[in-house]
Amino acid sequence: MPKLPTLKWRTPPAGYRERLARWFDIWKYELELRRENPEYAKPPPALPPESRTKHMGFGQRHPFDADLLATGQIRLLGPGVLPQSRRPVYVAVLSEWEDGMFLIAPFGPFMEPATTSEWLTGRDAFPLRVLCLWNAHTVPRSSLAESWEVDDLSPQELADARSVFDHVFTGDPLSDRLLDRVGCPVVHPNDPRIAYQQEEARQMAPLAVAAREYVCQITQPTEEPTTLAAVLEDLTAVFRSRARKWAAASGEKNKHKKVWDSGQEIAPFRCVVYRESNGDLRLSFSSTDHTHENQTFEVVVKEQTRPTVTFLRDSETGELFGEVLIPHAKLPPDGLSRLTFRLKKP
Amino acid sequence: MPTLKAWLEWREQCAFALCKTQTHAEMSGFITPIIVEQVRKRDRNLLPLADGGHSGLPNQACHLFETYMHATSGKTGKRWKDWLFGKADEAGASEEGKLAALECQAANACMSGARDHARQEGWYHRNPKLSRKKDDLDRPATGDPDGPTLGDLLPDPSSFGLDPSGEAAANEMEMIAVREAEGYFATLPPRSKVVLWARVTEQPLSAEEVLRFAGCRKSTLCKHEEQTPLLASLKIVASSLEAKYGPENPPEDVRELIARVIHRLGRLCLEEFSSGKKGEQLTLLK
Repeated sequence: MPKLPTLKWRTPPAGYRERLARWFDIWKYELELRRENPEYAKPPPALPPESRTKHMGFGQRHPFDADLLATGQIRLLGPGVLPQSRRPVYVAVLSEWEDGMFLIAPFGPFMEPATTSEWLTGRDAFPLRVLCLWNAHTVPRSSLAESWEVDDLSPQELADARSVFDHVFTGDPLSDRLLDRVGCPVVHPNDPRIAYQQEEARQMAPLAVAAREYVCQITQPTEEPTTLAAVLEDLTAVFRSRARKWAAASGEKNKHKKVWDSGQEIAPFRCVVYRESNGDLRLSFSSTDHTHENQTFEVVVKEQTRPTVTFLRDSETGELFGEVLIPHAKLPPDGLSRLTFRLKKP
Repeated sequence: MPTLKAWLEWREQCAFALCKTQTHAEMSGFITPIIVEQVRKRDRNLLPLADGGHSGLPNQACHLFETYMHATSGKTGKRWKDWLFGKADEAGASEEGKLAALECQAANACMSGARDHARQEGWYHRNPKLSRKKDDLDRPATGDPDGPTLGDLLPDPSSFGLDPSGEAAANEMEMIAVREAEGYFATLPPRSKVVLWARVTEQPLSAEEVLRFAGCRKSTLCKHEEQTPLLASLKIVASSLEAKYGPENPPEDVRELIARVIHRLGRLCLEEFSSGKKGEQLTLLK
């Protein structure tokens, strides 16, 4: 009988069963509250913006201070940012990307972390006890225009939050210290925590919509590239939109370089980069230059990996395309944020 | 109910305790019954808060509410009051409407505060160890008798993942998974591969590209899936691996291998249909 290598499994954190039981206990209370108090369960009423009369008899609110927006802040979103929210939503600003985009994660409604993607901050204040990294969003500065700074994360808190974020989006293992401060994994398809996450995700949907619109706006190609310079510029634009995803996944500020073999004219290529759930990278190339049909190029990653990509014609669209998969194991060990690759004629 | 004047005075003050007597009485008259009712419902033993005769009760209830809402003692801990009044501002067209919305929002916050107070100070706090008795694990996790029990939802210790220090063994396991997956991939019916590819790429079986690769209509593909379900094929893979490796290896390691092989099969389908052969039908299906 074949013997498998002996895998070394992590020791579950002490008290994980109790933590799960406590989370369900509070969720049970929450469901009871909703059943017993129909008003409690409803999303807050809101008039259409044109019908609102601001500050009628309610005094002056403190001005928003988004001009002070910076990484490491804890901010309270203004009452109009998430119309469906029944509670004040605080967010941690985890990173600033390029083009005025920020990575933020909301603090959760409960005092226990639900899953391994929620982190117990160790703070005493109820609204800031649990940070939900699974619900992180990249948002434009304008989405945070109506918010107030209320506190800062310490450097250690910021580093821990980013580590949990990396764990969620790239599968990086958590340290034992952080594993002690997150919830339990979801292993059952009918786990009620899935419904809880769906609720929380819906609440943040306006931010996701705003981010999508903003990205579409800034990555809209202006004209068809015709020269090498224009091609590279266009290529850069496509890369940048995806690069943000890598940067989001790595939790580091975007420092990507796009290095192309400049020794020859490479006409209009586009590349979209997908990161698979197992960490593999899928590079999807297309070309509008029909002379590339059936031509093969090398994809050079860090001068090490040289898979080839052949451009084939799609019988329906007439577009030339080719894909290449770079296995996770062959990616540079120093992370995606410093990935460079070239497309080269052999 | 508190008057607008009382609400506004409270808004300006740092805490209930600093409000004038009349304001304090109005506000605590609103907050205390909500909190006491909720705390009592959750845990009658939570004293003295739930003791209706306790003289300090209104102060405690108001303190609980403010403590629950207060985010920080740092820069600007009172911004939540701006949020509360702003939410009310957006909810009503008239002063009465806004006031009603304010009361509703504040009442909801009181209820959430009572919920967390009961959770924090209640039974589990006094009995921090979850009983390992079967009846504890057999109780429904959320009170729904048809829902999963706590025992169903408890992760197996291996769900916490592999120890990073065991990377070499994990890599070796991956190599075995790759080898096994390549073997099983060759035996998968071609249309099952298309179905698996559709699942991996989250496409419905009716998607144009899926049908193009399958080389048939949706009804034919669905019939194939009925007669030779993908799930059944994957179960055969799993049981075959179980039979091969099960007797000699820990069950969690075998489960890990099965998961990796099935994941790898998905990857192979992705490579098959998304790379060099894109735009072509499967030769076998023509």
